[in-house]
Amino acid sequence: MDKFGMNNQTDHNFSKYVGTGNPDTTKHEWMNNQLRDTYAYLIANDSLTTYIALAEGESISRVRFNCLEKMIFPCGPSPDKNPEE
Amino acid sequence: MHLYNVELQSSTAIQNAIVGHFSGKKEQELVLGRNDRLELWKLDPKTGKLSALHSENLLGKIRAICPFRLTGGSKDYIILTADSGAITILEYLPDKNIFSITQQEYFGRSGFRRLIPGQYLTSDPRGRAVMIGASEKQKFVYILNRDSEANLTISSPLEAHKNHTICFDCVGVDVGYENPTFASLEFSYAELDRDPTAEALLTTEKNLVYYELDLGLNHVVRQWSSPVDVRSNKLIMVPGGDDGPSGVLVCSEGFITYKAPGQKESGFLFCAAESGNHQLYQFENLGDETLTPEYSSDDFPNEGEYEISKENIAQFQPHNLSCLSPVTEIESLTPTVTSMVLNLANEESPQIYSMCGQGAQSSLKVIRHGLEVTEMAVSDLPGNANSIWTIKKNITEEFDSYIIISFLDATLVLQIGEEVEEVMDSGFLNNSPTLCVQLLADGALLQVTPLALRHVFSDGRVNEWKPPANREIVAACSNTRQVVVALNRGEIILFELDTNMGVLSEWSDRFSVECDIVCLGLPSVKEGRLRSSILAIGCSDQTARIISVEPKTCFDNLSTQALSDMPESICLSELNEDTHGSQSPELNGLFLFVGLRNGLMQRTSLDNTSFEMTDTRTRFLGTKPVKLFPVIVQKRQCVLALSTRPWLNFLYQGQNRLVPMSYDMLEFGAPFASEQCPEGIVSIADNTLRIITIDRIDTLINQASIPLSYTPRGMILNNESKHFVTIESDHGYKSTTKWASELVENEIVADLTEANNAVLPPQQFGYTRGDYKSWVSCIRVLNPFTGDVAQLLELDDNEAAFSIASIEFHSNINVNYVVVGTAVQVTLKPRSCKNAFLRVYEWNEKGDNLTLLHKTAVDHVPQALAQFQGRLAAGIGSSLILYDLGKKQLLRKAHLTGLPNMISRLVVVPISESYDALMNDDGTSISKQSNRIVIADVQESIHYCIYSAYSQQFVIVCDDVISRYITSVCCLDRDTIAVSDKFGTFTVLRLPEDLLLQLRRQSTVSGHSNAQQLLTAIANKRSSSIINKKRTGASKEAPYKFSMIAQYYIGGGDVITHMQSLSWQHFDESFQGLNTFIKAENKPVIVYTTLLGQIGAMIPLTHLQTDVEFFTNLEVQLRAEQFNAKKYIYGLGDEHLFYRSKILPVKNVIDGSFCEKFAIIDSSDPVGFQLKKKISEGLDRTSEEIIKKLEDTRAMSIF
Repeated sequence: MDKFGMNNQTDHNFSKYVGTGNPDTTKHEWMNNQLRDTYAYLIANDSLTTYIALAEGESISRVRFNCLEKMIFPCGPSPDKNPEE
Repeated sequence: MHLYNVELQSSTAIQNAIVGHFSGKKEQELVLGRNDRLELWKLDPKTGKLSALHSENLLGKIRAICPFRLTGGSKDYIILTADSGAITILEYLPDKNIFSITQQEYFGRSGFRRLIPGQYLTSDPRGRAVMIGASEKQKFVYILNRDSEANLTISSPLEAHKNHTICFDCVGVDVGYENPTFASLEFSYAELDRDPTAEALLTTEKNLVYYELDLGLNHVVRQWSSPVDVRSNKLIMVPGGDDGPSGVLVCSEGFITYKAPGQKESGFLFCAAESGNHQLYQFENLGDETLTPEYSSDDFPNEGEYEISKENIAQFQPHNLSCLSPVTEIESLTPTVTSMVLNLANEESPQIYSMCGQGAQSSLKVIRHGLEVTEMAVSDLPGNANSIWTIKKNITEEFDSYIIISFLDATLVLQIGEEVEEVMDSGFLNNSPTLCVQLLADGALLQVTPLALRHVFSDGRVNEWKPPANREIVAACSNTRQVVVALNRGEIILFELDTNMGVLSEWSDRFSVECDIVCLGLPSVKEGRLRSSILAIGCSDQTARIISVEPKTCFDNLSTQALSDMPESICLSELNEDTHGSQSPELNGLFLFVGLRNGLMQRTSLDNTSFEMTDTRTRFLGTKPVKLFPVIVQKRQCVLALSTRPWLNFLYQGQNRLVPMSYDMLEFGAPFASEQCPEGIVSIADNTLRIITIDRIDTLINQASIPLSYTPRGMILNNESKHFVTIESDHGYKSTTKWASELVENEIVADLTEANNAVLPPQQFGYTRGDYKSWVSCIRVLNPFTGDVAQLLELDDNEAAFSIASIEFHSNINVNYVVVGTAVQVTLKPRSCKNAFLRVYEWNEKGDNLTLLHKTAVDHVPQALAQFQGRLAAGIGSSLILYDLGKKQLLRKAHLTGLPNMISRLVVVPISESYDALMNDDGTSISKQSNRIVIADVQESIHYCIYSAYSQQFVIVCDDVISRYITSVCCLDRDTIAVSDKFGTFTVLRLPEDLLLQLRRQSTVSGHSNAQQLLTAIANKRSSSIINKKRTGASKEAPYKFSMIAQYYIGGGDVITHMQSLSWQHFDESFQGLNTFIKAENKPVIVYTTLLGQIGAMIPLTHLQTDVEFFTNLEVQLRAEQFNAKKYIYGLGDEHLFYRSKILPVKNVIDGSFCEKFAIIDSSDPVGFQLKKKISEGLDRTSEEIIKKLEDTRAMSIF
């Protein structure tokens, strides 16, 4: 009934919970969020950073830094939204 | 199936370490965050020794810790963030020795999430506020203050969020008493996400941002920001206010920048290592007088203009530590890559051989259950001693003066000084054996021999009392004021010291019993008392009695205990625990210890007033009669119990612990104190006198270490020669030999000898970095007893070893081959390699040397190898290939392709259904060859596969519905498999009932072709699964799905790297014989080791009523009370059930460490008492019964 107010709340939730999807979410946006979430999990979990550090032969801090760096730009540039056809 | 999980050794990794005054005293203490445990360690500044005061499992993953002191306060609080979405403030209460939760505030959802703060935690240096940050967007600031009653208060959170921003680090800025300010290192990706050309990547900058908390307006503002280098990664606070210029140091790749908006001391440095042992260093000097060249930042261009070239590089030669010296080491098993539980040394319990560490810090650790013992001195004795004492010359002495050793017909008196030497003028009788010696309260010495009681005064006079003719003293005991002697034929005479007269006066009555008296025990006299009021006697009629020796009720029998055998020794001791110097009497209690001839020891607690016996515990210590000696270890009164191995009984965190010592068999012991060794034990073993000390009692295991060169990847054992073969490889490094030759090639040094000198020792500096395709690797044959390397095969040309297996080919029975899977120039992302090989090695006759037979090229990196059907089964990429041994290379016999991703583990299923059959067979090789193999995929859980020798085909009959990232697999029996995954979940899977029925039918049909037909029928059955999962590989989904039997979250996200099912055959036979009652009902225990160095065990609970129901109810009761008991079982904010179900829901596994929290609840505290009462009433048992059950479950099954 209060269609206007409801939308307002949805918008608020979208801005509050980064990564919430909607019908217009593109594959690229979804991938970005997916990868950022994964990297954030790896950074926080000491066992997994140790695990990766062992495999790569790196120190744990560097593994963490590399993951943080990857969060910035996880899967390449976004596709052009208005491709010239 | 129900399992009970116990922690044998908590995680040894240290992720967080902070220093502060947590008990509010002058001493500095360390608080260590070890995955799900919080520990408090004390540093002794004189000796540089670290000792653990308290350790607690907080039921949550500790993410960040910071110390916090309110302005003007003298006590530090501990603030920590966890994966529960809450910030917790803890206070250490030294008198109770617990962490008490002061504040707990929830701010977000649980788990490791991108937007939920918890990754970064930092406090204002002046103790006014804390900032807690997430890796993206969110930051909260809490203001901390104290209320009128000086309790710590916490404000509601103030937000400092910034959208589309990644946070790299966060630190509090020292601004004196101006508004609290926090600095953070941030990168905004807002523009990048919208930019299809990715040009923004070049223009966006990393910023150093200052957030100011306005205390007046109660909000946080973004005060200042300044661009920094894009590779900046860390911030370090610079002291401000009166102490320094304030601001922060920004660490980037290659340089450090000082940023700000327009001390000499001696101390210690604690280094928590990522791999290898943790170290404590002492500052020797501050590097003021070294020859190291100095560089000034003014001579270098500013960032941005900075280009690294040969001219502007600050060069220095690394050297050995000159300003720091290592003082103490805390042993660590992190990271444990793999391990094996074996009993190579034929000891009473098996050892765990763990491969730990990374790079040059790698090692093979031999882990034993027992206290670590340091041997101080060993010297020979002239004959067979039959007892030993230490004694002070007079009361004022701080240390012991004499060691008295009694032989069959003589007594040897040794004086302790610069050297230990024999003396004759001590006043003791030398030509007779001794039964007891004592320094009495008046300063005189007492010696009891079989024919006399001698009171030796300091001026040399001797008072003698002799027993009646034809009677002999058989046993004697004493304390500083009382002496009791037992004559043969069961008569006891009591003497008491009359300090006025300076004589020992005999009590008018004598006490006699109908049987012989074997041993006596008197407790020590409490301070301010004239006598001890009770005496314990052990009689030959298999009883132990407590008898009053108070004048009014002298020789009244107070209580009696029937024993299962003749007593050997008896000891009344008041165990105590020294917690921070403050003696809390509640923790102390009087205990009666009885050692029996059959090797059992009984411990009974005595009521302090009525001396009634309650709560008896019995433990089997060894096959020899148990002798008991009171000793002092770590300022605690303990009891040393000696049988075929030495044990120590002590109180730790309010609980009685009986732990073996990792040392030779001892016959007698006594406490020993000298200037060099203030807290030792002097003992006799095999005609030698030994002085030993015990440095740590907080950990029940000890470890010996054998160094390795590179990160270990796998190992196997040669069963005959007992040599290990290990494979070690490291990515991205150059070996020292290669680096030395490169130095010569590039003409940096003249020749190879000079180059070898120039190469820095890798143990301290690590190896030289190479490119992403370079690998260093070796195969090593190792003698685990001596630690000697029998053979070292270095692999060159960037070849690295990944897997290893010991194979006995069916064509060459009784010849063992070692197959090593290697690959050349492996890149990890994407996974590829130039070449890959299976190298086959042959043992020499002695079994300590390998020769290469041949190598076979394969397509991908071989990650898993196993012996299967007398052949080699190799997991190569996503295919399983079966090889036979050929003359020039391995011959392909059968293969299975199209597994989902990559085969990570291969485990052959044991054929026998009953455990007995397994036990007869060493557990290592199975007489009948199994035709079933479990294939673990790196992502898609396990696949149960049956091999048909008739058609040479592998058929996958069962797989899993959940994609588990498998890290280890262990077959419990033919149908049951335990697996662990990368996210810390332990699961037990079993073949479904209908498949078992089909397989049983298939195994009974005669003829190969019929069996084959039935197998094909099973394989072709349509999948019963409702989800029609599309497989990435070529293989289709299996017709049957595993049923899940048990599941459990290990805690803190730790990863199990090895599991082994341990049956009783691993234990010594003599030990087994006496414990048949245990053996009969015990199913094998699963022992596991984790990446972060935890060792744990899963104990199967066999009795539904007594075990399963009991523990389930206890867990339910504890869960119900979890949040009502702030001090004891609160945790970091997650509900227990939720915590153990973090990734996948818990099923049929009981959390032992949670149940054991019941024993820690302090009953002297009214809250604790109520809590204990409520829980025990709910279970309809007394709390002693519950604690006994908890201890027994541990002791009976594992340790």
